[in-house]
Amino acid sequence: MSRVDGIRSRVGRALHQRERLAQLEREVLRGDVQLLTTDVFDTVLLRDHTTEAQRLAAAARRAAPELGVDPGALARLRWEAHASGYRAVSMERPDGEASLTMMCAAVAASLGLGDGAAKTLHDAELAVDAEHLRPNRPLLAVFRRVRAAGVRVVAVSDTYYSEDDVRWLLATVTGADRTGGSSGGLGSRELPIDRVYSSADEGATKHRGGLYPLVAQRESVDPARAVHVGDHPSADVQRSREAGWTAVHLPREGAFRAAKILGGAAALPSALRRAR
Amino acid sequence: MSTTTTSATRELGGAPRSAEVTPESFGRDVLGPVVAEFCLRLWTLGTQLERPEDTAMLFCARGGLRMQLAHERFLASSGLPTAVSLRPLMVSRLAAVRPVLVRTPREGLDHLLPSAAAALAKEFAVLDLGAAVKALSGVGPEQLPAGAAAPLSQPFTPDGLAALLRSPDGALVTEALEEQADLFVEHLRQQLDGRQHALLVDTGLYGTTRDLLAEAGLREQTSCALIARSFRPGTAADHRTYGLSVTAHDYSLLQRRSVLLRYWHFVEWLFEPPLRSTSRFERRADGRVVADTEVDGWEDLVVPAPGTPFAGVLAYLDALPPAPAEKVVLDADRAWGQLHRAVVLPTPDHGWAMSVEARSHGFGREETWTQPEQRGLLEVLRSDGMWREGEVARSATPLRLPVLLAVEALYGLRNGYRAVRRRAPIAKR
Repeated sequence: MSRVDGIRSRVGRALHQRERLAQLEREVLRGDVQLLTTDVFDTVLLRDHTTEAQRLAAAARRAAPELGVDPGALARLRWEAHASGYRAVSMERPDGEASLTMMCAAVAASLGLGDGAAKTLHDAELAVDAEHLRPNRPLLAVFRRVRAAGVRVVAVSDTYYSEDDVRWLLATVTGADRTGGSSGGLGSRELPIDRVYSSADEGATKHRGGLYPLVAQRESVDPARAVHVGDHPSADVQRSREAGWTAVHLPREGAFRAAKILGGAAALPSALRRAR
Repeated sequence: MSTTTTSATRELGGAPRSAEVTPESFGRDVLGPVVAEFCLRLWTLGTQLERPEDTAMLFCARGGLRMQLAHERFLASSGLPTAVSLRPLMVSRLAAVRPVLVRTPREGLDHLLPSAAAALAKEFAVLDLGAAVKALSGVGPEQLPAGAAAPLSQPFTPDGLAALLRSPDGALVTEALEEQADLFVEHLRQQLDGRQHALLVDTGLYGTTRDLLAEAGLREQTSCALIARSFRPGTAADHRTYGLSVTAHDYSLLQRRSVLLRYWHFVEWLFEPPLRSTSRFERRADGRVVADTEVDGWEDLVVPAPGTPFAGVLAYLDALPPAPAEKVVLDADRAWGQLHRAVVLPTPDHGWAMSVEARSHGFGREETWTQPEQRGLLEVLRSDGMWREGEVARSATPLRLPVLLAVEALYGLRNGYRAVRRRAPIAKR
């Protein structure tokens, strides 16, 4: 591919993203839509190329001195709590979700440390994750316009983070003062999201389909009058359509996917060490 | 010779040759951290359950009985609390297959259910139907009507067994299977004591027992935690069965934990107490259902003889400090490397310390795997013993290292070939 073709391709993808955002806005403002729901990670908050294991290891290195624990051992324990969390979900409650709070509590207890240590680890993870996220400003601008038109906007995330954690990440990464509320204004520093639903708190997920009806019920909205936007073809698009919602797919751009592959390759040695 | 040494020698099938690495020291220094890491992971798994009080970890006989002993010692030393109930489960694949088999006549099916068909087709591939029926139900061909004689002498097939279970000629077999299936399910519920989630804990590898129980039509939820999880070719991963120490298709040089698959007989032998495999259940006068494994004083037989590798494992667990996660993780990291070297490139000491005695095949069959007497190098390499590398090491040949490295290289080639074959159908799709 020549350099000119490469530039054309990137411009094309950017236009594609802009078209999808325009499509989303049209869908929401068509008149009868009451609720716009949005995925959070890789939709509102865009991750960089790092892997989850790399971020967990970085958080362990940050928390270890305060906890007085070997950083490598702490990272291994945290990764094992992660694996155990999802094993327990598969074994006991396949429609449910793991919880960061429970994982950090297990790590702290196994080290003979208390709730304060669990919070230190928890906070380190949130802080490290925030450093590897950036806001999707064009999408946030769409949210502001549709909220101005009277449509409620809520975030719906498949995540082990609690709703408070997700709210903190949204506010921290976007630089917003706080999440918006029905009585709040629409200043540029206010996050244009009225509420957050997290699978960890709700005990139901998008990828198994249970979270959509739950949100529709909580929001007292007919699914036919709700629109969902997200990056995942199955959890965000297929499952929301099955629940009767209108879905708009907003995939990450090709440059991100390439960076992700390169990041994964760079992380291969540590992945192999972990597997050993 | 003291009683202690006699016991150790009896369990090892030969006298230890050196004091440098004894079975017990190997158990304490290498296997202890590996088992402690498993226990830590099992405890962590329990902490991540939302309803731990509704879950019983059922340690599956026979290997699971020593796993329960190890886990209880780990919890006692570490002081880590758990809300999950820990109970033994007297089970074998033979016991677990019966509730699945009886669904065929009870539900009027013309076939065996998939997990039972797969398990029996593998176990009874070389037997005739009569021998398989005897192993499963205890009913011999001579007890059945003359009309059943011809099919019973045919090679075993799942469809042949399904036909027998549905025919009047097979009524005695069906009755015997139903009685044992019902007693086993009652034993399972006794151990669950009203809990709705049975988390089976076993050594490994394929999770067959959980597959069978999942198809037995129980109202309770089942899942399974193994030390090592592997997969039969062509089978899909079951998302309720996990290998807590290792999950792998094969031994791989890149994954040193997979060394457990390289010498799996040792893992089974390490945990297996000298108790018979569970075959039959009966109701005692007090109404309790018990298995033939539960002979008088069976709990004492779960405790290992002094001087054995498992005694060393317990010594390590007993010496753990409270809340020992950091120590366990760091010790286990070192121990996995040592275990890998001991299995792949054993010294003569390792060869003796990790030697195992005969092991029963199970599934109602009489055959055993045996540790051959000391053989020549060529004979060892030509044969398919339980642990070829150990035999090479014990032979004290000066060619030990080059031979073992060559064996390792061959494993590497085989591993690569199998990995390519496993990926081939995926690529075609």
